[in-house]
Amino acid sequence: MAMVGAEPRPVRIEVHVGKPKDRFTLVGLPDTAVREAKDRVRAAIVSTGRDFPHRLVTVNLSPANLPKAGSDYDLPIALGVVAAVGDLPKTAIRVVAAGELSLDGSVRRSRTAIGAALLASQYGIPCVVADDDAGIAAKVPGAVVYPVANLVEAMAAVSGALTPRRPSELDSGGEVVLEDMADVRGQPVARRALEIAAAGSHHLLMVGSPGGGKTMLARRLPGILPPLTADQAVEVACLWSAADRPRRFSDSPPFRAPHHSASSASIVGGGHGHPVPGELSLAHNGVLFMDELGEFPPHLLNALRQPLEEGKVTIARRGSAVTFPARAQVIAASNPCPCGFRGDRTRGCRCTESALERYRRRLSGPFLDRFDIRVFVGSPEPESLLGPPGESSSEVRSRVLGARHAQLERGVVNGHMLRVDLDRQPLDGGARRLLHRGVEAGVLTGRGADRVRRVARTIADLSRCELVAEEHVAEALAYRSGL
Amino acid sequence: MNPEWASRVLQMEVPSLLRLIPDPPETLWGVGQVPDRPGVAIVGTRRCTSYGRRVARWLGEAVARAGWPVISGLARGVDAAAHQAVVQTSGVGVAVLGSGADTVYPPENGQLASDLVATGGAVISEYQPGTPPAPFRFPARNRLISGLSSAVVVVEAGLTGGALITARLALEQGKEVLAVPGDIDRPTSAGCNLLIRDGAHPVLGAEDLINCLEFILGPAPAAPAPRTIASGDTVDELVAASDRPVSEVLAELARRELEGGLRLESGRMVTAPKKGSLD
Repeated sequence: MAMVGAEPRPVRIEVHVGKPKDRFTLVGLPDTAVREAKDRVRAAIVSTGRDFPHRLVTVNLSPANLPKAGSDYDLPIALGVVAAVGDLPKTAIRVVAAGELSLDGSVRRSRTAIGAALLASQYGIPCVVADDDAGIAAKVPGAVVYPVANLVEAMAAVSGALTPRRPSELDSGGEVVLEDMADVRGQPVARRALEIAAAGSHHLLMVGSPGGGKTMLARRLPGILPPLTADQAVEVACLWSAADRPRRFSDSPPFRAPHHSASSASIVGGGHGHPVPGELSLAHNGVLFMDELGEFPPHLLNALRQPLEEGKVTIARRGSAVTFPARAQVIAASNPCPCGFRGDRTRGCRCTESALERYRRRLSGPFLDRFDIRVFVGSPEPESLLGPPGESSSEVRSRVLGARHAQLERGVVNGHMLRVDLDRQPLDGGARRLLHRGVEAGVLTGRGADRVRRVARTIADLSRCELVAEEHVAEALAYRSGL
Repeated sequence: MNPEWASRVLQMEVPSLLRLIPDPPETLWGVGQVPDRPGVAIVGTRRCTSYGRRVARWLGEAVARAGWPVISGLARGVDAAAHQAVVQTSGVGVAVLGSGADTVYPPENGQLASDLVATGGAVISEYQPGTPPAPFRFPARNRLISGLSSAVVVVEAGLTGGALITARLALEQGKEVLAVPGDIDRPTSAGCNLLIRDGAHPVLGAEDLINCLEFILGPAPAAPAPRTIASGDTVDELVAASDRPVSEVLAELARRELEGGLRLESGRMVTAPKKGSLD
């Protein structure tokens, strides 16, 4: 099995055992690590007490034109060789196997275990991985996983002498500690905006002075989002393993917060040689938090536009292109002006008009168009800081779940609705009139009106209304705070 | 003026406040409702500077918010600025015209006239509908402006002009006169400075004006209007002051924004120039 992007592709191991001659060749575009598998495989087979066949052994990794990399082919090659000399029933070798072999025959953990399990479940065949990988592989829905410690166990597994591990349930949360909305005091407007953003998966821009709690709010978004489905969790796990990140298999949406000094390749994806998913893809099915949006270089913001629209990143490489899913919800935070205190209750802004103008120009334009909800987050009122804690994440989340449910019944999440989807959403008379007035008054552009309609749809969903009414549009109009 | 407005002009009863002045009007026409409590007149030159306009707005807003009706003449300059502030604060304002109430002069204040009526104020005149504006009528209507008020604030005035006439009439009617000081070398403030020299209260700021008015006149005649949306309010304050859910307050702000005059910027309602898009 090979990974193309974050997508596992099957690789068939073909073994031919020819005339007596002590030679072992490996073909099918192996990289150095794969080529070295020969020596590990030979040693591992010898460690089981067998002789390595004294014949011309040819291994082909098919399709032969797909580049193969890494040490995870050791285990399947070894199984193939053993089967080819007749030590395994030929019918037993329809398995997906992944793992590096050590010289003593033990199986080491693999980077591609989740991909292997995913393929296995797609093809309806079992999957053999290292003990260490079995836990995560078994979470893939429908996967039949054999955990093995060494090559001998692997041979036993494929001949049917072992029982597969029972598929385990998805962890909920687990390693991810979610911060609670109850910690956010005051900020009623920002809280409401975050709830709407969560309910409709809208991109959200928060503008406000430093210390107002923008970051705190953003970090709490995953905690009020609906849990990932098993399929979504698998996608996320594949992406994270393709990026060689810590293993992640959880139903809580990922949260990524790249720094504005990060390179374009690390955020969008790419890199030298083998393309690697960037932060945007690591945040797939979750949240990409961009703090200090104004500090991100303009070319990077431009590079993000198309992936955000399409929900995927395509990285072209010589002769081929790799695609990573990238359907992340963007939460951005920005100071209102270079000094940061424009609109602040307590301190005044000291920026010159021209500095302000430059700042606005930098932030305005097509990228800002992606944000359905823009809200000003002022510094909190002193009373509210000492006041009672806010509503907890679980309460907010239950409303979000209700609204999301209504959207999934219609078939599309509001934040991803295009104009054709919007046109199918009924507006009542008052809502229609208000929108018209906005356009006539020059307050709304065509694209702005679409944004308002999307957000209004989510607000209606939160109040469990089928029809978008005037008050929903009016509230949506309030989330267009400029800079 | 549009016929729709003209059709709204009705003959009104002369309010008791105006029957007390030495030279009461015989008849009164107008649109809207004249408050039965005395107000505060904010007057000044038509050819005001940006200083005058700014101060007029500032004081108009403060007075309206404190709960006094704001009385003025709907002329260009200071009058219009004060009325505008009243409308934006959703306060009560009365405009006394020097022409028939169906003929708003200058015409560009037509919208302002209907806004005044919409926020609970009135546009009145002692002249029959159809009477055209004429220079000699303006000093006469000034006695009605001071008549409806218990204090007259002169924001900006030269040595000649209607504002000083209003101040003189106010003194004759026994009303308080206050004036906003200005640079001594600025002709548009010469009248105000003169009034101060002659004993008018100098107005040092919006808060100072309110304190002063409360000292002279006692607390505002009616309880301040319920919290309305005005320029300078932050969204968070409005939400905190309201017992309604955030969603409703935000919806209200957005509707208010579409009506024009105000816009939401950096979490705060600000006075909007009528142009441009917010996107």
